[in-house]
Amino acid sequence: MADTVTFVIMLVAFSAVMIYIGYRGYKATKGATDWLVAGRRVGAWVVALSYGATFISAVAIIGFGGQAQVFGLQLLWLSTLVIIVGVIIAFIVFGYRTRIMSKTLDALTFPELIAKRFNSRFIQGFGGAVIAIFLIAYTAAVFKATASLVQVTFGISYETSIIVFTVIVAAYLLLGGLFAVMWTDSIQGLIMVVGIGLLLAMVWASLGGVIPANEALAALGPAKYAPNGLTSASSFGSVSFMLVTSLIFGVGIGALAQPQLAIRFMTAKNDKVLRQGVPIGAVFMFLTVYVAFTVGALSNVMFKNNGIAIPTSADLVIPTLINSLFPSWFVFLFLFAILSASMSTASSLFHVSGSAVGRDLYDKAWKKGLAGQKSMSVTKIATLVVIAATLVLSLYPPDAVAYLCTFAYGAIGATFLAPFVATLYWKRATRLGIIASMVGGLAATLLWYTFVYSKTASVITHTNVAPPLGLLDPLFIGIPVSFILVIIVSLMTKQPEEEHIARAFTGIS
Amino acid sequence: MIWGMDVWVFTAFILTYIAIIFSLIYGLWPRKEQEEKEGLNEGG
Repeated sequence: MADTVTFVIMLVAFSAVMIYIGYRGYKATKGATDWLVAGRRVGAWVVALSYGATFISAVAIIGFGGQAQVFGLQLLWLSTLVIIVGVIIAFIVFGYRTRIMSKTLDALTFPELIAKRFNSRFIQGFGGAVIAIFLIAYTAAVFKATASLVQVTFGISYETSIIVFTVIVAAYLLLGGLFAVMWTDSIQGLIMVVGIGLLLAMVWASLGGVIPANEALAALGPAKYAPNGLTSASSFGSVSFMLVTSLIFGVGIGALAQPQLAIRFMTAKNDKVLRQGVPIGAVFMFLTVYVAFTVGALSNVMFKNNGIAIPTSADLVIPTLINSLFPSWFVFLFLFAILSASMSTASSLFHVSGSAVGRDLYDKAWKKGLAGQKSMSVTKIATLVVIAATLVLSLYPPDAVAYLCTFAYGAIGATFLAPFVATLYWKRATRLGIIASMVGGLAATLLWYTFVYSKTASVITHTNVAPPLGLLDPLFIGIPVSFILVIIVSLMTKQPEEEHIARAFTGIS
Repeated sequence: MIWGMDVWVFTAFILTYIAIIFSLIYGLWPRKEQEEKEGLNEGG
């Protein structure tokens, strides 16, 4: 067990830096635009690092790294997709238009962008409610994963860890709004790159390089979820193939419409920032997820070479590898990288959930729009409420939280992706088309989780649908339903006013 | 097997590097027209 006193001293220093950044954010925040979209004046490094650090949580590194031990190198398709879809396509296809349109329409949240494009308070309220319900549960899961890791590594109790992390994140977020969140994300992102990036270099070095490492992994032969070997893809249509492709496409495509990521585009100072953000984001993903998945797969060789039993839970693979085979200085560095991954994701989720409750639900949908400073105060209070609710849910998680968290990615992806595409690209889309798409996409996803998707349906409704259907990720159902609904309902309803469309698309060629 | 990986896993491996190179060229290649367009958007 690593030295707890050293860890606590380092944590205090780390927190002091984060809270100082929060204070600087406080000085820079004058109004709602600053609090919600960082004044729309953020540069390339901060936009891209913040995007990456928000995207990649401890769950992505520890959880999916552990999955790579089970599935082998075929999980590299997920890191490839995260780079191509999650960064390159997201920035190029969605980034520029989101930035320009949100500025033209003066939209300060993700649901507000869609709502203002279609002149609908319902869209903003419904979008805000979906974000609040699912992302609060997701944040609780992020904290739970980190606290469990700290408990395993340092013996600090789960409850203490949760409370300390929540207080640190709350302090800098409530002080400096999105300025504080994005700047702390960037510092935390750099710690992630160093800590996680070094891990692969050390693993490759100990296994004699890339090719000998892969050959040693291949020599281990077939595994339960890698029937063709740990460096080979599973056969088309097999159970492991369905599991891997569901995971890969579910995460990769779902990433395109996550509000906590899309809001980053609204903060960019200009188009050049987004263009330069593409390589920064792509390299960041490479040094984090690609590394975690490769190390996760190669851990099979590391465990075998050192006579260590493979942990029974995939979540324990990376912590066991680090604690057993790496020097203590690296254990600290890696732990801070994981803490950074958790805090950067959690602060962004708190921020986006707080604005969903305060601005989208209460201020705009219910109160029909509050005036200037009052609007910002409401959002700040809502953020505090969201943080408190997440703390309680992390400490005393009811069963429903686990389900909401499992549903979160798919539910949000299916609710927002088609409306987001239509908002930015389809002038013929109508308000009713968007509402049908949001409600229908969400409903289809939740129904699939409840009655068909074997992982959840077998527990919730005790239904067992045989593979391959039972293994199909709900996003594969929710997203097509959502796209079909927006097209059909829009074509059946009255064309939107030309004047409003022309205004919304100002500056977009 | 290519570098210890089957062809599908190798494709993911190599695509990752192609994507990184593309992103570097896309983001860092100087573009004059981009700056001009941006200037027009500044006031919007």
